[in-house]
Amino acid sequence: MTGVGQRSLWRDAASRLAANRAAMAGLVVVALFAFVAIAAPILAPYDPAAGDTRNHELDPFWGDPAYRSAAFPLGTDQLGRDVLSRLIWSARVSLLIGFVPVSIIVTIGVAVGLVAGYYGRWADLLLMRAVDVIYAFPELLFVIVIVTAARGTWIGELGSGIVLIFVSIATVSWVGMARLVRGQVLALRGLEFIDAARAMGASDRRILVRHVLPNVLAPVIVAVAFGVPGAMLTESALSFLGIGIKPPTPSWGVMINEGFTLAIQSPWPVLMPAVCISVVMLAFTFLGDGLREALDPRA
Amino acid sequence: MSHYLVRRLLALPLTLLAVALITFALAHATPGGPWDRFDEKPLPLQAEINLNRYYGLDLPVHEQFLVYIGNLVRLDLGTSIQKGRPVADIIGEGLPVTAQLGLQSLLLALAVAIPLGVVSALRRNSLADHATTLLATVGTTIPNFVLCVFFILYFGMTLRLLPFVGWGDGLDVRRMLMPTVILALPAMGFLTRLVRSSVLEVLRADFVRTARAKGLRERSVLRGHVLKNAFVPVLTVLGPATANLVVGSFIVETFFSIPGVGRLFIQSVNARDYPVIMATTLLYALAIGVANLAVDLAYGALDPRVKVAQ
Amino acid sequence: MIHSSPVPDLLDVKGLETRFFTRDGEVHAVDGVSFRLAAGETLGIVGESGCGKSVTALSLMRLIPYPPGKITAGTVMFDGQDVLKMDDDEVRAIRGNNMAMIFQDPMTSLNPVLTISRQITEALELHLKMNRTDARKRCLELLEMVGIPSAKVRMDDYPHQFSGGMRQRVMIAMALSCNPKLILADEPTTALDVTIQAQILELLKKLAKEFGTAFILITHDLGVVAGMTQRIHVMYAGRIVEKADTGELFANPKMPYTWGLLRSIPRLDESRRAKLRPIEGLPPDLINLPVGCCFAARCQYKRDVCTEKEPELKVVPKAKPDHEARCWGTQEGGWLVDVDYRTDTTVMAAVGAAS
Repeated sequence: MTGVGQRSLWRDAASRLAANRAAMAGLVVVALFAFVAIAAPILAPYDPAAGDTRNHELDPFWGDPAYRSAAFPLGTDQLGRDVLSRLIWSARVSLLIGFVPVSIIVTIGVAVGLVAGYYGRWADLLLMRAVDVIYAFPELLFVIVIVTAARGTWIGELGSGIVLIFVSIATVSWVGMARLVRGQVLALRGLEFIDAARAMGASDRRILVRHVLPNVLAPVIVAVAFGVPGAMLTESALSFLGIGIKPPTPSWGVMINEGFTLAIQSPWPVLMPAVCISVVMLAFTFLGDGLREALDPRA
Repeated sequence: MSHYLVRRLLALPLTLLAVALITFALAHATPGGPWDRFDEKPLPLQAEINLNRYYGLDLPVHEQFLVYIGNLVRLDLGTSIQKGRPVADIIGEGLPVTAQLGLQSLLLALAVAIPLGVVSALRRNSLADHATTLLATVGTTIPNFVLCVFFILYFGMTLRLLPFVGWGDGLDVRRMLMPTVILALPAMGFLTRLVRSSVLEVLRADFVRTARAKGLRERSVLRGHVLKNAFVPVLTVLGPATANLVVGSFIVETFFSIPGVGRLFIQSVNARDYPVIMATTLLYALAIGVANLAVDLAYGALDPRVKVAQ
Repeated sequence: MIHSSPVPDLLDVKGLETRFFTRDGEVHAVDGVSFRLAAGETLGIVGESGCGKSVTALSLMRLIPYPPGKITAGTVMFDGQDVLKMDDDEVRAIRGNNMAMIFQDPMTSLNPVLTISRQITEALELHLKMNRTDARKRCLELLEMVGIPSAKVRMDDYPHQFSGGMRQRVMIAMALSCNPKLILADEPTTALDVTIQAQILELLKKLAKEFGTAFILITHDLGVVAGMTQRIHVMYAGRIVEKADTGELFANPKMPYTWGLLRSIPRLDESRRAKLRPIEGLPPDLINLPVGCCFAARCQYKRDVCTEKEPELKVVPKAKPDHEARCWGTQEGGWLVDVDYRTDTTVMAAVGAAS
């Protein structure tokens, strides 16, 4: 009867996303970044923590020939450590920071949000009180406070401080996810199809999983696409401020922190991690924007 | 209307209390105190005991909290452990600087974002639109400390065009230029995109069609019907935008050595200077709470549907 | 077929075509629509959702958004001038002034942040060059005329403070404000309760009589046009498939689609066991229109010629002289000329369709 074929929301979204060149470019960069991060031990030519001060402050391959070395294509920092290796290993740190807390946030946040939105009452009330307190505040502030408090403890020592960062980001951000999911559930509750499912005898759990969850997924996906770079950014800021990843483990934030004092003589050790952060952030943003547009049924 | 106002005004001190409690608990719950010096010799034990007694740190934690709240109500913010001066004084020095920086950045962001966003929406998919969207994306995506690095390296060190240390007397435009712009950029980018999408959405509304059906000129349609509706969501975002400016100020003030509250906060956090940490955290919570309240009230004034609902 | 009317036409539409250019192809929303309207006349345009009736009305006022829509052909002679050839300023001078429109959903069609008095005085100040005081006076008159209680107080209220029926009255007042010669009412009662519907229709009828305004009433509801209009045009798939005087259309319809519409209305005097009789099938895809008659795929009476060639809109035999239909079967020499759809079993049995 109709000329156009059957389409589902996901297929539609996928084709719209594929048509968005900026988003596709972002996806490629993100994939590249993930690859570098995962393959770090193989790709990095040197140990990022080890440095010979005899090689300190060498220029990258486009720099001053008197201060270059073919052995260090992107130069070295003030402790003689290879910048390229440090950049590669930093990617790994960033990848972990991006995905581990976000996975926790999604799991807890979606579960709590579903329960609060669907069952309401005290679960909802509790959630909204938590939201009120935590939302009174910018996330970074809270994270800074938590991290500084716990830095000296055993948590702060794990993984050069990375575990503490996981925990603090997850603790502060799950509330936002729960709030988002709750809002979606509330909006959906107003629509009749939930009542229709119940009228057909579906159990609450079935309704939640089969009917509510798929509809909630779209904004959650977008939130994740923006949450990952957000977490990476938080870690960079913390590391820059000196309260994030403990050196000598590299992260882009740490490299900026350490490189900044050096900047007058050699801007490269500080510029390169800055560029890396910017590129990865931009890639995620384009991808996230593309996802948001593709998943919006109205557009 | 007054019901709502009263309820919100009451909620503010309660929220502040909760914030104070959490911050206090976190700051004191962990080992390590303000006397830990990793680079120098540790303090002699007796000196440490005396200092603890002087600052009230030898009391049990919950008592310390009650003492603190008691002082707070009398507007006594305590003495800075790191600097040895009354906290209120220190904050008093830093507050005007940060306030000026924040206000300048906010105004700059609005002044650029609103016209850019509107033009971008009206000339959708044009070159200007794409360029604006790209700039806005860059502004929101690139972290402010990266921008600080780029700007300082280029304008400060290479071109030697703009000074990048300190704040001067508050009238030194060249010195204030980079920090203000960098602080404003994320908000600018975000607001531009928001204004653009808001205007686009309103343009699609039925009542805009009605306005055109009445024979109004496009300009009148825009002014009287589109813009007034489009700005409502922009207003609601100003609350969180203030919060982001606050956080941005930590980094920017640190980078540019600006003697404001943001730099003070970072210093106090690194030195475990509890009184200062508490005071600045509460100050921020207060500022953000007031900003949100102001936005809610303004929202009620702008959108008649909200007023009546209360 | 040309017929000369005793009253000069207020509106003469010829061959109107409006298309929407989408990712999936060109949608032929309005595909060659021609009709006339005399001053003071009320015309009904009926059809199901998606048949192009709203787009027709929007095209008359040149309110089709571009992108993605565009009026691609035709002439619209309003008061002696072709609206489609006017420049923007001239069109704007007509809108709200000589030709006005009432939209379907009054909640979304009114600006939520402006008072209703402001929304009405806007047009008055613009077209009739009134100052604010005079405009408000006139606004009050209009609101009272459409039956808004306590108009003096309520005129400075906002749209969300009114009920649906009241909002629609406000829209009517807005449309009337500059004494237009023609009002296009696009599903004016669809969003309202049945009892309010009746009130609004009565109001429109009263106003038409009092001010001699011509109306084009667009709806999918045959019941609405029955009591309101002098003539009815039935639209399907972007074109007009039947034209007749109102009484004639109900008494003696001459197009299988119209038969289907009339048959599908449940009747109070039927036995409870009788099944509902919808028109089977779905409307055609407006991007890929079928060859031949646009209704053929759903028609119980179709024959080979129906899928080969599209019938033209022509006067039909055994009907009033102005009665036109777009059907091979009911036109001169067709196999449906003598069929009474109410009692017909023979043709249906012959074609093998179930009833």
